[in-house]
Amino acid sequence: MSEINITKLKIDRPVLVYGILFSILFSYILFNSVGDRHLYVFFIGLGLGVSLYQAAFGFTGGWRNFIEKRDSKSLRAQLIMLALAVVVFSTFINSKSFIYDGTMIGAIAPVGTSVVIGSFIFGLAMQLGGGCGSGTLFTAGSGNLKMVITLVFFIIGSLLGSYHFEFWTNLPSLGGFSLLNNFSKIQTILIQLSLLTLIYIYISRLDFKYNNKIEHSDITSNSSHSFIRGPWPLLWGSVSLVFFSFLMLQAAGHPWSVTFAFGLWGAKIASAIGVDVASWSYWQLEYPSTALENSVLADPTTVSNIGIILGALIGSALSGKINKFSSLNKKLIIAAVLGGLFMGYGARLAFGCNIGALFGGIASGSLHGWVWFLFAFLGSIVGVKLRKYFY
Amino acid sequence: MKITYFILVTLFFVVLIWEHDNQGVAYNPLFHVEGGDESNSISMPCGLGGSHNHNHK
Repeated sequence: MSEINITKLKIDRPVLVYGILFSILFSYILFNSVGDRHLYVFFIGLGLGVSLYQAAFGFTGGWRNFIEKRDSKSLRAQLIMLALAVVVFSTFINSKSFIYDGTMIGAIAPVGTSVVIGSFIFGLAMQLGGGCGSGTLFTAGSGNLKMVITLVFFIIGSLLGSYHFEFWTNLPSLGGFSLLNNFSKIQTILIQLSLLTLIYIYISRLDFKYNNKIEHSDITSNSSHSFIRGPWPLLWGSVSLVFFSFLMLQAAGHPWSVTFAFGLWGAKIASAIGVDVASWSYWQLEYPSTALENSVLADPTTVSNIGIILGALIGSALSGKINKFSSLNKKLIIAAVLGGLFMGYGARLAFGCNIGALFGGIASGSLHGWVWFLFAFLGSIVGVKLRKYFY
Repeated sequence: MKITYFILVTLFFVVLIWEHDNQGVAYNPLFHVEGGDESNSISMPCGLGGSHNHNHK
């Protein structure tokens, strides 16, 4: 995390005004012509965007730091986030929402070849692209032009993944397995917390062995943190992401998801230029076909993604760091293109990214979330080696 | 760089609003059924749609 003294940086008022004005405009449109729940999802997206940015909460860098230097700081914060989410989601999934009259559901997807290959590809590609699903969104939203390129190719990759979706999902699969459907809530929580604790202890020991020291308090403190202007300690990010994810579950009825919208945006553009996307088997499934027929703003994933982009933009304007535009070169652009393309493709095969599959899956007690975690991490080990050719 | 970035972001937002204006939308079409806890036929944007607590086969 950055150690820049935030008080020396000025708030970027024009960018702040830009972010607030577009937030008001989208709020108005959503409330007047879509629905109140979409408006709540948008506000939650704003909260997620600010949290992701201020805590610099990305999976990619955290995994890379552990793989290269056995620095477990970010990974430990992610495990704490997952542990909190497991307790909260296991308690509330399959119960009535307090926002609308209906039952909230978990993210349960099949454990099959497509998840294994898709998550491996995703883990590898996120090291090239420089960000995961949520990471790409919040860094693209906070002024990083390279991540805008990654996002564009993420969209193209998602579209290609949806074209091949039927092939991949017809490969051998064990089907979906939900701990909540096979064990009690308490048992589900205990099983998952035990696993997360074992991983926490294991990575902490590796960190200590490699670096001869480990400070567990490093995720609770930051030398120059400020609630409004950031940067936040990682633990603030863990807690706030679980809090907003819980609200997302209550408002949307399902766990937070990111990458479905990328495929949808690609499909909308492809349809507009004459490609018969609607005839592809993926876009004939119930949810995707309804999404394709309606305005993009009807899709809650799109709405929360816009919120995340604007939230990150507002966060970066408050921190005064929006002006830190990095330069691009040919190698970085190639890395962004390849990373985005393969992340998008992998996410479609694996039923989501680090948010929809890893976070949402594990929080929902789904086995596919754990499989995603394992194979994406293995993919990242390869990705870190390949990354050296581009960065 | 900053100007290019804001042109791209603004263009993206404008296209979203324009598409929404042209396409229109039914109320909450992608949220699962309110007032009931059985069908949830449209439930989760992972790609498979979902039914009965999102148990994919």
